Amino acid sequence: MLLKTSPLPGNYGLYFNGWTRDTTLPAYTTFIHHPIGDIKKITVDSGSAVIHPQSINWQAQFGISPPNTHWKIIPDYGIFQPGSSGSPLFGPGKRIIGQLHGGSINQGDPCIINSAFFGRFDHSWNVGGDPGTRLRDWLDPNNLNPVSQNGYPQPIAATFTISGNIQAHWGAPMKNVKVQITGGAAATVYTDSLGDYKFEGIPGGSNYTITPFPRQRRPERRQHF
Amino acid sequence: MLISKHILGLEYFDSPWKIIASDANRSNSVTTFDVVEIRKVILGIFNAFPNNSSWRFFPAFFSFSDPTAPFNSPLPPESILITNLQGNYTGANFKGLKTGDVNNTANPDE
Repeated sequence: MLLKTSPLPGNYGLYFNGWTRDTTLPAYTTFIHHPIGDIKKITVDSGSAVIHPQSINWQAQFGISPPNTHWKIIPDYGIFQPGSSGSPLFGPGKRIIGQLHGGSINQGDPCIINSAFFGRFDHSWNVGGDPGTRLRDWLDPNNLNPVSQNGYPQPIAATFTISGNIQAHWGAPMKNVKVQITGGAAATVYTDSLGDYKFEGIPGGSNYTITPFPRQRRPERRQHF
Repeated sequence: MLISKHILGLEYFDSPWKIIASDANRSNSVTTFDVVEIRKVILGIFNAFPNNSSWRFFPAFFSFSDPTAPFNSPLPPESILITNLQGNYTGANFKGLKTGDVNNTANPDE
């Protein structure tokens, strides 16, 4: 789980996935992932996921997961690979029901997945005894105890105008000064005869830096007599 | 001449912007080295200041803690940072100063 500490740029066109704690066995499941850092892939299990009734030994430092903490699926289309871990598992309602932890790949044919195990979202909701180990403190800060949350597209950011003026320090307006905006948007404008400038249609929710640039001095032709 | 008077303490500048404008080599001080650099530009020995731009722009709202000694504190960044824009922002104003110009005779349009 990631906590964003600054506003997301309004022009990213993001979609925030929904989630559900409903433990009804999903009739089919889908997960979306980036195996070995590859471009986005979609894997589908057309059969019902089940709650894995046994413990899972992840070996080494990852330890053993208790019984009934994971969804088990066997994909019909697509596989998973290292790098897919953490990918969301979606139920028929297109909401997240789990996150990929690992599984078993056929040793003779790596395109055959024996099983894929996804940590149950509903289990993660309230596991452990503090906000560092459970989701509910972060996804339900008002303690309303929702069972599910629908996904939603990133709200279209309102746009604003950033304007200003450039004068010599003794008050004379400076025209034709190049001014750049960078950050959530990038553009260049020039001051008018009053030294004014403005950037219009700048998406809200982002950080910006406004920088004037001195005029480029043209190389002088040296004359020799 | 004015810069030399300031250096010698005969007549101090009446504005922190003039002091910064005098610092032609961006050493955060005003010395005879700045006078030399300015003369070299005027005489055409330098096409431009080696370590400075012809104009510098600072946020107009910046307030010097000691206007008589602007280099005693860090100068402000030569840009304005706007965080988490949530409305129209109308105060992105800058003051420009021409390097070497301490009597306000530079043409802002050049």
